Amino acid sequence: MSDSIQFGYPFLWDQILKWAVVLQRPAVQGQLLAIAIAVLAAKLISKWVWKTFRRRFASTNYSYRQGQKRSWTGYGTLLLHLIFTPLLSIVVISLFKVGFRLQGWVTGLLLIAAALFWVFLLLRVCIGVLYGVFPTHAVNRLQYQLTTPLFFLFAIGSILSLQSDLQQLANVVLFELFGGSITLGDCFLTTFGLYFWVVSVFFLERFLQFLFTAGARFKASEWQAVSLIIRYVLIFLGIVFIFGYVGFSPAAFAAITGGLSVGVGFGLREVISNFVSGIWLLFEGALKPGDIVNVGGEVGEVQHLGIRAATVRVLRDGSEKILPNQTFFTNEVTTYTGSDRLVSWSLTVGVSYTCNPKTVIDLLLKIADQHPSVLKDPSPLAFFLEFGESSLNFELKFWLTTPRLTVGKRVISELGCSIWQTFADQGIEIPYPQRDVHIR
Amino acid sequence: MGQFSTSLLTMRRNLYRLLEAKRGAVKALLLSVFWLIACSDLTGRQTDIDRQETLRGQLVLWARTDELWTESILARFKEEVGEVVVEFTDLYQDVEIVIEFMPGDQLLEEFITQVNRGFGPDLVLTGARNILVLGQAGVLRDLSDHEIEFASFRSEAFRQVHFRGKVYGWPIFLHTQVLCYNKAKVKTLPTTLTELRSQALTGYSVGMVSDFSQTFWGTQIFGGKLFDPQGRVVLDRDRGWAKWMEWLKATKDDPNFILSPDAPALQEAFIEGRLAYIVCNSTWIPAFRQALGNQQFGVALLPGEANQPAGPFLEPSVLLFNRVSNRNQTQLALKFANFLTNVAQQREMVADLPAFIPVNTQVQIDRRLFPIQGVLQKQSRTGVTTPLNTHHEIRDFYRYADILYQQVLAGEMSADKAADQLAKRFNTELNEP
Repeated sequence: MSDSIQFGYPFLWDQILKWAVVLQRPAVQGQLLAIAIAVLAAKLISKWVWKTFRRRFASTNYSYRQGQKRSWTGYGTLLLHLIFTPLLSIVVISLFKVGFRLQGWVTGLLLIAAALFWVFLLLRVCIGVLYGVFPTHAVNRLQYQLTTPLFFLFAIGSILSLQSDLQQLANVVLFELFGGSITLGDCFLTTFGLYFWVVSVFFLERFLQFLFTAGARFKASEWQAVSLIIRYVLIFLGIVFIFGYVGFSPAAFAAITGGLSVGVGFGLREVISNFVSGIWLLFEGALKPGDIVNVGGEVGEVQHLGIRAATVRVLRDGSEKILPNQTFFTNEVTTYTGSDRLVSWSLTVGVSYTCNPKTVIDLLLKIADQHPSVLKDPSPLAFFLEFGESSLNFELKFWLTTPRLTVGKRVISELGCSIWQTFADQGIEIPYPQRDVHIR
Repeated sequence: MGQFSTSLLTMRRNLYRLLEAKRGAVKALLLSVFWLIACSDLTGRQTDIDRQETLRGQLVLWARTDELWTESILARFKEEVGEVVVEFTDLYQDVEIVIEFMPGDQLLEEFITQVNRGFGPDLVLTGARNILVLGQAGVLRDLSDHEIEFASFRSEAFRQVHFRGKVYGWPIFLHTQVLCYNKAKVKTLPTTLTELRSQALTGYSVGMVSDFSQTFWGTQIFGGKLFDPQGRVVLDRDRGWAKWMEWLKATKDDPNFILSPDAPALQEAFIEGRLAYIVCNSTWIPAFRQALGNQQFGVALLPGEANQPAGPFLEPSVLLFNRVSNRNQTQLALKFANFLTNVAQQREMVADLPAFIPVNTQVQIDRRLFPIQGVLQKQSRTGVTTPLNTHHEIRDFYRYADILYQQVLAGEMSADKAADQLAKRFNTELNEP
């Protein structure tokens, strides 16, 4: 809905015809073929070189997909791998250019292709630098979701601008809506523009997360809640800005939303309820990623807190549950990590009636103290519990920093082994169940 | 459980392989489709008009617009070009022509850049002077190899598309300068410079665009010439230009005589009735006529002196052909050029738009029915042409001539010295290998 001079479908058709005209020319076909050959050759050669390299230097840690710490050699290899194809493409295109010039043929498209590959190469170098700083999976995501699509968009724009005025193309009116004209530029902005804005906000959020959590200024879980709010606020602002720029009529918007509000109210009631619950949860701070909760009898760890649903990993079997946010409001939820993340565990052991209970308590405390995972503060406790049927029963209580079930079970197992060994060394008997039978 | 995860892994690996293979296939397919599209025309039929009567295909035409034109002149020009193209495409319905209007100051550079990529329009409608730059840049198609019948063309036009033994353009029309006047203001038309000056002194305002090219028309009245038959500058001989410059210098301070480089302002003044006379390019005429109406607007020959008519530049509008157009596009372009210069079309266009002088000698104009066109044709008989063959740097020549012209007019240099400098400089360049 731009105010500048607008064009119609005839203009668009003229642009298509112009491209049809040039694509029929041998001069253009020759250059395009040369570019295609150059890219294909570069790709094949690069693949072959990479395979040979991997075969010869199998020990080099060049893989950048596993998120592991990379050596300088590995990093160099990775960088080379990133830039080899575009560099080779530039070389082959330059060779074609020389050949074309010798033949007296035109080379303008080859020059443009080379320029685009230079930009691509620069982009690859930047990506390579990022691999050295940021986690691998994050850079991969940045590359596939943002930089590569942006580059392709840039390349398409550059190619189109060779023959067409992009400003004029953007002003081509596609259809009329609510008394305003929707142009090609408007459609582009509301689709690609919105996509790039949302993706950029995501990466901005990740970047800020990296900055703030790296220096331990914020806990990751706290940051996630804050960043989620920032993300949605920015996305909302982006949508408002884009639709405002496009010139979507507020009256029309009001009419649409007014008309749809009843339908939306009924159809999307649950979604909206979850959405509001999500915002409430974030602001209240009652639930954070990493919390251990018991929902519906299942203990799990909150993995991700979204605006509509939370992802909870069930500790028992590692499966993930996606729970709508309103579950946390309508159901009873127990959290084991409300004020702190300390979790207590206990282990019961029985010894013979012949043993000195004081010695047993000392030994149990000593064993617990020696275990690296058992917290010193709060310190482990050992209690004499009861005079059992066959044994004197004791309880060893200790605290761990993690509520993970697997960790707790592992520690209990290790402590149990140590107790058995120590008791054996000290001659403390762990009795079998005994029953005295008196015959009258 | 272990078996399940192994089979999952295998499935995943197979899926990746499938996707990889699919991606390769899609790439190959896209490449093939792209190549097929590239190799075929839009309708999928490559035609050869030598063998086939039906013309098919698409053309792109650039038409040069002049910076001296007002909005109304520009609008009329665009309308006329559009109409001609529609007439052609009505005749050949499988032909589509995209028209783009390009300002004169951008056209040369843009065309050279585009052709060097393999792009650019198939045809460029522009002034013949551009042939020099474009011909030297190697972006124009030489038409010598095509059997074109130029016998019926006016020699002045044909001479100006020859460059170094090659034919680089197809003349369409000729343009020149005439004296436009406001009939409501003028009682008697001046036929001599003296009459024009005396009319100006008695209150008839005269406007003239002030630069070397626009004022050159008076040189011939004083017996001067720009080139000899060998293409050498002879402006310094016979003092023709010097005398004319002296006349201009003397007249420019007369009341009602306006010598200004601001062409649009002069055009505007004439349209608004503030000028009785204006020395106008023929391309301005349609807009003037539209603004003033037939009752008020008139055209006359430029004033001369006894037996010494004025000699304005006679410049052809030409169609230039893109070097990188394919065979079919070139044939279509030639067909279009031929269409524009056939007798019927030239007659029709001249009748529609009294701005052009037909290049086709077989076109007869009835001066009673078309008085403006008649004057234009008569003026063109005394016009001066600029042969291309000898000019290496014609643009520089006009630029340099303009500088000297301004210096002479400002009284900083004598006209004789300026003429001498111009001749020396240009002829030296001409003698260089």
